[in-house]
Amino acid sequence: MDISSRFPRQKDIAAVYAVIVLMIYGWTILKFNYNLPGWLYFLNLGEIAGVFAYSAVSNLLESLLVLLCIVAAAVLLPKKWFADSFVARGAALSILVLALMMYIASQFTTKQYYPSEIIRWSPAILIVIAVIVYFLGRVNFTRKVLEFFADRAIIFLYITIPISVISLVIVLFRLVL
Amino acid sequence: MSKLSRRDFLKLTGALSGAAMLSQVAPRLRAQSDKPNVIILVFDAMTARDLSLYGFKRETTPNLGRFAARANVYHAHRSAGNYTSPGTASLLTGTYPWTHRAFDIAGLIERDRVKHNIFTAFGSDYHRLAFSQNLLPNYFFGQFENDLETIVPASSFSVIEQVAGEAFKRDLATGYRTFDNFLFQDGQAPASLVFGLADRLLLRSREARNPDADYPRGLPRAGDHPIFFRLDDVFDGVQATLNELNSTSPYLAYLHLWAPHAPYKATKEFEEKFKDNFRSVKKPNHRLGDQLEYYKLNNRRTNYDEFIANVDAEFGRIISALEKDGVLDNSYIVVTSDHGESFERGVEGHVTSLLYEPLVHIPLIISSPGQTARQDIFTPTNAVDVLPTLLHATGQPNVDWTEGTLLPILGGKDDPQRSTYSVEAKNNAAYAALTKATIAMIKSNYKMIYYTGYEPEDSFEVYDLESDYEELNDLYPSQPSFAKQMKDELLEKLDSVNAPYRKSA
Repeated sequence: MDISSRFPRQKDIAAVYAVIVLMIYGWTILKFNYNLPGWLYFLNLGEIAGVFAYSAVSNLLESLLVLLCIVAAAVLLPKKWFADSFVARGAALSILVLALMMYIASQFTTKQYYPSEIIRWSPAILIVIAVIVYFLGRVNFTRKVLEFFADRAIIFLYITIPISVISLVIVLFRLVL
Repeated sequence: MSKLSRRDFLKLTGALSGAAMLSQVAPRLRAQSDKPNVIILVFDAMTARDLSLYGFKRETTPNLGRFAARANVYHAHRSAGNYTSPGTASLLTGTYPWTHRAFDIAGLIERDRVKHNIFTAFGSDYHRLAFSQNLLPNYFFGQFENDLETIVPASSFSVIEQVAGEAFKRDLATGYRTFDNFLFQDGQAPASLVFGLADRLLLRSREARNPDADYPRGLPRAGDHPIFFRLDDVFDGVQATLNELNSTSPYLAYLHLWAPHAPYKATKEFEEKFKDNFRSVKKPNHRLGDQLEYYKLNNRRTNYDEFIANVDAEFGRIISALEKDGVLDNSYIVVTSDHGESFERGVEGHVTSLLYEPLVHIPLIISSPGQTARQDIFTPTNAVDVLPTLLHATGQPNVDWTEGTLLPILGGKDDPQRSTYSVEAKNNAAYAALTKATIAMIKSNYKMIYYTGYEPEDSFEVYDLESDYEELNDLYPSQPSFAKQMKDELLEKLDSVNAPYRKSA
């Protein structure tokens, strides 16, 4: 089996990555904005920028990890299951899985409460998501909507990638020097 | 080959990590000096009001009492704030919160004042070590790092730890703030969607895999932070650290232990120690309180007292060891807290706008080198007094930036006219004048509490702490002329400390 032939095209990978970036960076930026008024009470801009830089680098690693999983799925699964509509299925999978993670994360509202029920049901929910993703890729309308959305989302890469690279440099600078 | 038990392993790793940390400064080992060592032992959230040493009905602190038999016991000592950041910063800088400005949750000491701290003041003649299980003082250690030879990581001596910030040793404060207080923050949805969630699931799994039969209520945990510990391990670790420090004498060791801070999880030996008929004095709920029910507060107070008794037993063990090793003969040992704890007026804990005595009346016991008799001091004192007193007692140069005075017996005199303060201002910007805050002023046996910036209007309370230990009889309306004197003094003080921030506004 020629693995390289199973790799999605770079343009398609970028589209799926853009959706992942939108979800992962968006979540952190929302939380960052929620904390910002408090930090402005006692941190200076340099310290806040430090927190932002670490967060951006962390988001970069998270998003690449998720992308790796999706590309691996495209390479390893039968073509008809996933790779044939990589952008649509990759975008749908990213949206649904990350939305599930957002829901679970938002359940951690106190130190004491642990959302055992939803976590116990997660494997079943993931199977349902896999089935939905498969069919979303087969239906012409949903496939086109997802492809359009992923394509539009690429604009965010022009913002997040430079920010992440600059953040990475800042973090390395802070840790090494 | 004999097997190592988990506790033996922990002790060994604790001792080895302590040795490894100290070995980094081996070239700088100091010759044995005549200067005394200083050990500051801070028990987080330990109110003097629940210690039998200070007259509490439950026998919570027999070992603290044993230690006090050869120490100076300050009976009217107050913290300068009602939670960790301001309370600890005042202890470490000898200044009030309106000066150091660390009065927000996880706040920092004002940059221009970072050099005004106890470690800088003691100078490099001393080997200076800091350890805090609570992450908040670690932010200060990050600010003081150039004046500290050793910072022992917060998660040392713990059974389970997942403190991510410690991986960033060269940028510790930002590491803690970004990862442990933001991306992986417990008690709220983690800001990191993938790693944060993974961290949460892993921590839960580790917690579930580590039940401890000695702790029926679960292992004590350092608050929001992923640090689970056994008290005996922590005290063993502290003792091992002090043993290692003996080779670097003189040393200044600041050791800030989480217990008896919530969650109050005592071992099974102590968990039902106080099955008695004790009931707190019932007080009306405060308008700025949480409106918790009286019986719940009583039950929680019992858990707290049991945890204190547990801490006291461990403290007794460590003091016996230090006594045996002769450490008490060449060291000042300071036992205190950063703030108190409330179980009254609808408030549990200390994250509150209130400044009643359970929240600010804290223990202060100082044993001088070779001291053999107990001395009791009833003059009001404050956490800001500890720094100048220790400098004076150890013969270090005095500093002119502290707002404290020398403690009686240790160089200071009784001054009934002196006013001391406690400040709560977590809802006020650190860069702005204090306009939303609670300020308590203690003068002689009187205490004024001023609430400013709260609805519906600013208000004052005055209590005579000598005749009204429980602060139930507000003298403000009944003694207007005396109240006015105190009010004028407090407002004048507030005006003067606010002045620099009004100018810049």
